[in-house]
Amino acid sequence: MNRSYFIWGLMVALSGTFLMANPAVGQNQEMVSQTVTALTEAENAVDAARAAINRGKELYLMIPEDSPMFTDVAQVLEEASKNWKIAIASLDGAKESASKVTTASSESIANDYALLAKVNAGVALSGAKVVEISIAYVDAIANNKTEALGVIRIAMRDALEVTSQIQANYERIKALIADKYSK
Amino acid sequence: MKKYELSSFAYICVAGLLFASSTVADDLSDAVKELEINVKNVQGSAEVADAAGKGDMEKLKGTIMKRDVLDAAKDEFANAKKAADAKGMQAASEKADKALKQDFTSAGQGKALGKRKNSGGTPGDPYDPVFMDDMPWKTGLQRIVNKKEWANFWKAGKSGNDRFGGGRFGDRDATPE
Repeated sequence: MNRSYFIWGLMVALSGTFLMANPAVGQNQEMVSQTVTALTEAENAVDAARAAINRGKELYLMIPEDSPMFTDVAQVLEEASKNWKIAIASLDGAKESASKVTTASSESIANDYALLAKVNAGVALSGAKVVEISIAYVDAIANNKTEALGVIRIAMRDALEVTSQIQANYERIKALIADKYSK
Repeated sequence: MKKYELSSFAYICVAGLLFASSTVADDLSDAVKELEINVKNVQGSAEVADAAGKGDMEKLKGTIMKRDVLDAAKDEFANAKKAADAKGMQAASEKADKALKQDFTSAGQGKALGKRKNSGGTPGDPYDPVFMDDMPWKTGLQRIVNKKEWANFWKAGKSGNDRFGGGRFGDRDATPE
């Protein structure tokens, strides 16, 4: 009987320690403020990318169709288009997740919504940055900035490589969060 | 006795559940950190492209240095992750965060730590070693090698590499002033 009480006591103590050691409660406010910052940053980046696209339309018209760089431009714009779609969808996703933080049924779910909003904002930000790099590339071709072209090409290649990793990171985060609620 | 066995089993279950949930939380936290480092890396690339497009060479140099630090942070995170080194991952994450906010065009011009004064723009003994800790070397190893090389150079008052005709460069006794 005494032993049984001891085991139950130990379980209660362990659970209590876990809850006290779990920094989630204290981190809640920090998480919300980080999410708000990430969302603002993503929105600004998407706005900047939108402005860059408008500028890009004019730049595109400046490039003669017989330019040897025309194929390059087409490829870069294709990548820009893909990333623009990702940026817009992710920003919408971030806003939707953020709107659910306050109405969530528990603190844990609220934290996960905040986390989803934050990572979606990150994906949106990276997509918008790729669009900006693409337009910088088109600008360099349209205005014969030959010295800049090589540097921007490397920046573009690096950014595309990393954005594919970001997509993988995002899928993993979604799977880990979904896992928590599928048990 | 039977009661004890049941309690023991329950204890194991709860302990297992707690362990599993903390592991998922760690995995999630690591995955988020990795995504954030990658996003910062793309931001770094965008800064390089922007500076190159504007033809601002000074800014371009700074953004390339920044990109190098962001790359190094990314690599360090990947290595720490492989080694399951939580502190290493945190350090890499903080390094990327700091690098993104830092303006590398003024690298080496910042306030020196301790009593060293010759970090640029401030009066001091010209023979004081240059403050090297915040220089954006591409890798930790390179930073260590460079620091060691500089330390030898200043200590000996001559170039550390005699194979290239060094030996007099930086010799304080031979310097005209």
